[in-house]
Amino acid sequence: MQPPPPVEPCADADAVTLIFEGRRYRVRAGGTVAGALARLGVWDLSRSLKYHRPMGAHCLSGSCAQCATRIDGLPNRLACRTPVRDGIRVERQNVLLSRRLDPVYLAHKVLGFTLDHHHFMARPRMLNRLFVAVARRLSGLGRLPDGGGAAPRLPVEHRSADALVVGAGVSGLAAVERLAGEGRPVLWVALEAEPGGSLLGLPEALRERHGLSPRERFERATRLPGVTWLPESRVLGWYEDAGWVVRTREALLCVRTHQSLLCTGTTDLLPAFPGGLLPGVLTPSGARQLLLCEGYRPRGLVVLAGGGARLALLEEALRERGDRVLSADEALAAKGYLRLSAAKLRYQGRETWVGLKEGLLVVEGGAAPALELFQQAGGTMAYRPGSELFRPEEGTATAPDGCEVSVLGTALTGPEPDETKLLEDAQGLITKAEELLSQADDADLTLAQRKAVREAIESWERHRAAAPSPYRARAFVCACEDVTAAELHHAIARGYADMETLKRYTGLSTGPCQGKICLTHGARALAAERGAEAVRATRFRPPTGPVSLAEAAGEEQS
Amino acid sequence: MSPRCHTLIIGAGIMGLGIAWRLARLGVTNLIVLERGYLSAGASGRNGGGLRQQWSTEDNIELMLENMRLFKEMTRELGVNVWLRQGGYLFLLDRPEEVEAFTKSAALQNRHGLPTRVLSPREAQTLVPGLRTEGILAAAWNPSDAVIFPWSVLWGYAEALRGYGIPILERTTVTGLEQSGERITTVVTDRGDFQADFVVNAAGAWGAEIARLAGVECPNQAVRHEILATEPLKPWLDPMVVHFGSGLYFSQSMRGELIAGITVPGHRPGEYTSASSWEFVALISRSLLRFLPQLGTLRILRQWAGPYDLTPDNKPILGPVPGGENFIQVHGFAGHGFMMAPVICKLVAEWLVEGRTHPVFEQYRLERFKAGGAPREAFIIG
Repeated sequence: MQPPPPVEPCADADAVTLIFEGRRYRVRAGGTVAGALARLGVWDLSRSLKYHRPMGAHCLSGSCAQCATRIDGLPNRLACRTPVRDGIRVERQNVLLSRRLDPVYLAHKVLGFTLDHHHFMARPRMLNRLFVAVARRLSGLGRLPDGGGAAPRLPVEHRSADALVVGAGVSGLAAVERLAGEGRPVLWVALEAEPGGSLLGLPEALRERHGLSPRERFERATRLPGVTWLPESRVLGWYEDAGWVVRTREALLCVRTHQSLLCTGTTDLLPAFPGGLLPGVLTPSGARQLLLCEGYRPRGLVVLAGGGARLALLEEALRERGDRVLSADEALAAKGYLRLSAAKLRYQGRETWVGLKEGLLVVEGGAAPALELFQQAGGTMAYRPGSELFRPEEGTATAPDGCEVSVLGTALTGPEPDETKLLEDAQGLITKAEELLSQADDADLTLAQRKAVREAIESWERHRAAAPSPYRARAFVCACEDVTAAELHHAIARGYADMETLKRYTGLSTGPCQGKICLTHGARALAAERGAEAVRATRFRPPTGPVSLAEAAGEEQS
Repeated sequence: MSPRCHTLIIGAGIMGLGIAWRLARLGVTNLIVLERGYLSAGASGRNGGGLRQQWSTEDNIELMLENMRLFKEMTRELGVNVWLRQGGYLFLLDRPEEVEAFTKSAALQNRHGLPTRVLSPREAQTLVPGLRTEGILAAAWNPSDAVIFPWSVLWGYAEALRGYGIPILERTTVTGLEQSGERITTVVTDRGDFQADFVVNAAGAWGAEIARLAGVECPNQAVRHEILATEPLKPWLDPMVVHFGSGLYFSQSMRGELIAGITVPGHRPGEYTSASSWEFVALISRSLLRFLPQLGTLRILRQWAGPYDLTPDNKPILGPVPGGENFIQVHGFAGHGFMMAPVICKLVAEWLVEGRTHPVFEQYRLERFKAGGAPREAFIIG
């Protein structure tokens, strides 16, 4: 079946052509492929690895890899991170036979088939041969890249810098302003094209009303004397032999610094309820990106479920521009075939189904501190029973090369901090990370934070309790490898009750997200069944995000 | 009174688990397996999963033929999919001496029934889409070599051992070995003491450290070996490809990732660390692009490191040691322990229970190093 005709036929003078599945569409210039396809009414962008479940833009922050499509002949490209260009070609991946009647998805969706691939058809020999042959054919996601265009190589540059700040959210801003104020040179690295972090997309009036930093303040900080602003750049990791390896738009930097301030924020967790990964279900960051940054306006209702400060800001912004919004206490389930069609909500104390064929479901499923870089550079983290999250044991660590590495902001404190407080504490953030650590103690959480944490735990418990039979508990806890809550439970029951063996046996953290999202769910499952003391921190290895062979190879020496 | 067992095995890698499983099959289930980390923490969980029969001596060829048979039975016997795939091994050779040596080995392998052939670069290109063969003189090809998913093998063994009621104590560190005369009597750990008739040292790269607890000096040195995995692609590459000159190897896993490793000259024996290095990433990216220039846009997702457990002659240390007639060494496999394991485990178990001997127990004794050592095995990659 062809995608439906454009919802908003594009009359812009500067419209560009986007080719999706061989058909040409005129779309607005600017924004991302994910945003353009949402406007065209296309939500199922690809199929997942194991069950061929439809995947669509979900976190829109480059973490969840649910919007991986083939773009301009390159496999597994994230639609949410790819800007629309004229003539851009986008194709679905991993569809078997037909988009509507993919047999693997049908078996999973209609027959309720879940695969224990470790034991499935291990005997007898003939069936096993058949299974292995079929599994090999079905394996993988995208096809080989199209040949032709030369892959861009990046020159390798070695830099020494006084300070490195990673992340351009509120705490990154505080750190940069402080360092620049002291006259210290600083490299400021951000994944996004512009600074702003979790405030990106929020209208100025709303920012002003809530005392949030205006956009202008972020932009001014990029131009402060001594500040080298590196947008659309990723710190690939900390390497003992190279220091920080940073892929920027122009070069591969190997950076050694005296001080590194990691303001890496949080990563949205998957909403762990059945149907939580259907296209049309978004995380709070995903909704902010799609609805506010890209200005997408759905025809139907936007349901915001789960509460919390992030959804409160989103609700205010959406109501102001006239969108239809419903705030529910909790999302219990979602259904749909290729896209979300309805959601079961807890609303004003009752459970009720709401039709969302043309609407969206935004779920606050919690967020985990992004500690990959901190851990690689020598920081340690531990699972905290109160918040059910991995958090730093100490806010500051010393890397093997002597660099002082501190983690600041929500990456340290957990989600939903108070921005004003963070800004006030800028001095403390930089010079005395230990002081900040005390804020991270559960005792110091604000009432609202405590409530959010308690609700998150209760909701997790309910999801676990609600699972009727283990092999029908289809809440996905790992989006890359299609791991369900039931599979975690079974793995633990089989004796894979160590974070290390649990992640290997189930596949958690071995996919493109590298555990940023799913590891927390693994830890929570293990804590629930074996107690929090059974949860050990595992190791985040570099690279923190994909890096191409050509980029890693460096520029060819002449 | 501390618990007593027939055999206590130190190390729950493929060797330790495999020996326990073989012993259980021979009726000895009074066993304990100790693991300092967790299942797959050591080299058994960090290797590239290659299984080759292309070896240069008759003994090794025979052992690996038997091994391939055992690996192929594994899924059925253990009830766990180990994803063995016979996609072949293709060695790329760029020096005349290499071609000569591989041609000789191929003839020897043919005599043992293996279909190994030496191919021209053009023939090699038909096996690997887009392979660039500039500088390659020839390639050695055995279509019956294979790759396997290493983790599954450990899970299969561990689940079978649980079925026999054999405990695998993870996160347990051996801190001492108490001796009486020529025998080890007690194994001291941070979780209590154990008594055993036999103590098997299957601690891999930490084997020398364990042996030292009994005053036995082994010449093993651990060296860091790194591997990466790319994003998953649909099946496009069947063989395991090895560039003999650089130690580069790559194959496609059952999940679709390209799994690739290479010898990094800067990683020295005795300086083992499991940290990841950028030197490795840059070197292997350049090396892969030399042979597969069309893959420049293919992206690396993961990397990890594990130990090669090297001995001076790159051959293992097997059997009892002077001063420890019930202290059995099974380590020093120099990077090919995983592929050698099933047959070695079988031989060790049969030797322990039935007293059946095998030439490997003579060839690979620790004492050989005192006598100047055996000829060095040059061929340890892949």
